[in-house]
Amino acid sequence: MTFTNQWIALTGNPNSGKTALFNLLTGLNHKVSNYPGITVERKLGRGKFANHKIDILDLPGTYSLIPESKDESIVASEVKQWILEEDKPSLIISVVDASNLNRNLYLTSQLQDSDIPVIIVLNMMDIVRSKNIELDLDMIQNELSPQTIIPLSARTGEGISELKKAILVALEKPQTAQKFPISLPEPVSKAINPLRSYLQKRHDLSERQAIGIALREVTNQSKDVSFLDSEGEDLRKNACEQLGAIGFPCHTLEPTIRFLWLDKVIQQAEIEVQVKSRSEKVDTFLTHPWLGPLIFVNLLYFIFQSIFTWASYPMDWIDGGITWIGGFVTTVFPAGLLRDLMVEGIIGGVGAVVIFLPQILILMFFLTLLEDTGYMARVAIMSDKLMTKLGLHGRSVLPLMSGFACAIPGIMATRTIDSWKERLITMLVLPLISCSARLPVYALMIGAFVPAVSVWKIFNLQGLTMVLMYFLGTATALILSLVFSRWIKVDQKKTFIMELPPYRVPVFRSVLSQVYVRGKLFVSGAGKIIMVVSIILWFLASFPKWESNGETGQSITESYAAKIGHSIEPIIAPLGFDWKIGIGLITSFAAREVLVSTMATIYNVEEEGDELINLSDALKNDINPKTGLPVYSPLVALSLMIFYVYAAQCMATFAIVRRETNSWKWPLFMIGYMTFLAYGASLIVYQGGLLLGFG
Amino acid sequence: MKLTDLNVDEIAFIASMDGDSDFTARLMEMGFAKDLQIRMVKKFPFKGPIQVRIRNFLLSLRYDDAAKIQLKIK
Repeated sequence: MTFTNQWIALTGNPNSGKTALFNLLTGLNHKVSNYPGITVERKLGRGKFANHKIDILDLPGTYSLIPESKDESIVASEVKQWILEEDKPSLIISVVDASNLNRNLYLTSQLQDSDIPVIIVLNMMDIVRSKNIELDLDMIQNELSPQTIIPLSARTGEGISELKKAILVALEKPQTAQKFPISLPEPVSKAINPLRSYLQKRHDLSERQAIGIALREVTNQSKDVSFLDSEGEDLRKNACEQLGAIGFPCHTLEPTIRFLWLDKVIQQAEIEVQVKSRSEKVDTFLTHPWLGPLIFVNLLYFIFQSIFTWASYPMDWIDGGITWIGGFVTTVFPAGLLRDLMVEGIIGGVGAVVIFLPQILILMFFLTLLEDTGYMARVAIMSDKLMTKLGLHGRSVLPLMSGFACAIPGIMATRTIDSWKERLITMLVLPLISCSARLPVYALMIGAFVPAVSVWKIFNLQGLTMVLMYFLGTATALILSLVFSRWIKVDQKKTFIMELPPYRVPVFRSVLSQVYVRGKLFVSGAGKIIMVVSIILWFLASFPKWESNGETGQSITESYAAKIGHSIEPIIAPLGFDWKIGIGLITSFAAREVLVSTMATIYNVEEEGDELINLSDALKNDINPKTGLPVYSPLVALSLMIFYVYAAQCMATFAIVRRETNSWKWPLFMIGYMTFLAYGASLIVYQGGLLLGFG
Repeated sequence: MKLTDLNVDEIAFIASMDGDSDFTARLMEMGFAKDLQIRMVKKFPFKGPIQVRIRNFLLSLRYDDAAKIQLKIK
């Protein structure tokens, strides 16, 4: 039997270990549409079961099919599609935290009403067993009637092979229970009956599907995802009136009914409340009122320190590798346009950016680790009070920290913030956080123009300058969020309910696979843009060629690129920028790090020899032929770095903000305020510096 | 009494939940129910968030939200 066109959906509560299981089942076979967030993006993976390859869709973690935030409504609308349309998964794998059965099975029971076979995966069985808790699996099987129940531990790997076998069995012999499993109280059943039979006819549903949806429609007040038209809406109102009269307020009907049933099936609720868990003991230190923030700041310091120290070794290797490839191509290919294009355009341009991959991977590694251990949830709690004062949200911390890697996953991660106003403000200030694409620019300018001297014998001036750039962006982001929160008037929700997962040792394979997937996205996604821009630039910088006395030659100062650069020079000259930087500013609209590859391409084309130049030296040694003075000074470098702290340059960011806010208003606003900040700050720094005699 | 009045390490039972319908519905979807035991785990200073344990998990709420949950001592 083959399983073509069949696919599986993976669902579960947040913190159920769903992502780790997804990574174990699919290995590195991920297809992430667009950029990944922290499990908020539609992730498709391919699992191998015996000899069959089957696609698995990883859905965002949610507690219920009644959505409270953007990523939860993804699940709700996905399930709605499965019920109404042809394209549905052949099987749902519902991942359940075995130590929190009742709460996790709530979502499972909602999903089972879709009439799609469900395998219940009892995850974290190693923890349950270590606590000597007995689970009555037969009882759950009898009451919920899933396809099968598989006890498993994503951490130890037990149960994985049983799950793989069960998946194949389920695809061959799917089983669902036809009957709605809960016997509703008579008056409740009577109250929702008209709505149920209407839904059944209107959408051609089974009885079970219709009861499940009727319960949810009556309960769902926010109406983000609804099955009802105006006629159905009237029936819903009638049902609500009747339910209110018999003491079942409709906005809590579904959880009331399902938990009455689940708590009868599994009597686990009362046992654990008295026991002080190990995580609580750890929290005495990690979320201590003043020790907690201190630990967090030190952790951040450690992470940034390691980004700069550890990454320097692989960066040297990559640098050596690129130089070697450039040299190899130079010796193998005959001199000519093609070789110039490859060496100066492609290898020089792309190489100048790929070198920063180690730093990005290290940052990603630490962020994933903090998330998977359960620490990030604590950070959200600890910072919530402060963040609310600034107009943000406790859940803004993770997106803002992701922003140090890249604004795009950061903006996607804001989907977990369930209040629209705070989510919007987080998105608006996020691009001010210095992302890894700025790093190449800072690193180049600091390396070339800031002397490596020590300050007060403990700090290195280069490192200090770098920290200053990061601080400047972050501080501005926080100040502006305060300004925006006073100024933006949108409805907002003030509540913030968050589960604190127990501290867990992360599943190492899962962490590595997440880092790998993101690294691959950087290389293939950003790499493509940089490659294209580098090639175009090389043409612009290399042409037109001139011919005199039978010889052809080229001069960068006569090139198309120079013409474009010169044309914007009057605008940027007050900031201390010349035409070469001007071209860099234009190409930076594709991505910020392209500035570095642009400069590299320009200087490579300008350089007479075949060797790849060292960009830092080239910048330092660039002499203005008219004045005989260096073109770039430390003041220009500072002005340029500050420009990059603030400037709106990465088009992909604005495209994502457009998609997430569903309007052009906000991305245009972002471009406006960031450009204003960048130009203003650079102008003050450069002109102020000149007045003070630096220059 | 209100949940915010419960001292750290004390246990009480949930009596009722006020607040808007989205808030109470979400609490119930996460397993809050009448007569369920609840233990105060941590209170952050200056009316910061509070941390409680219900069923077998830790939950954090903002102070103002927690004040909407009424408790009783059986």
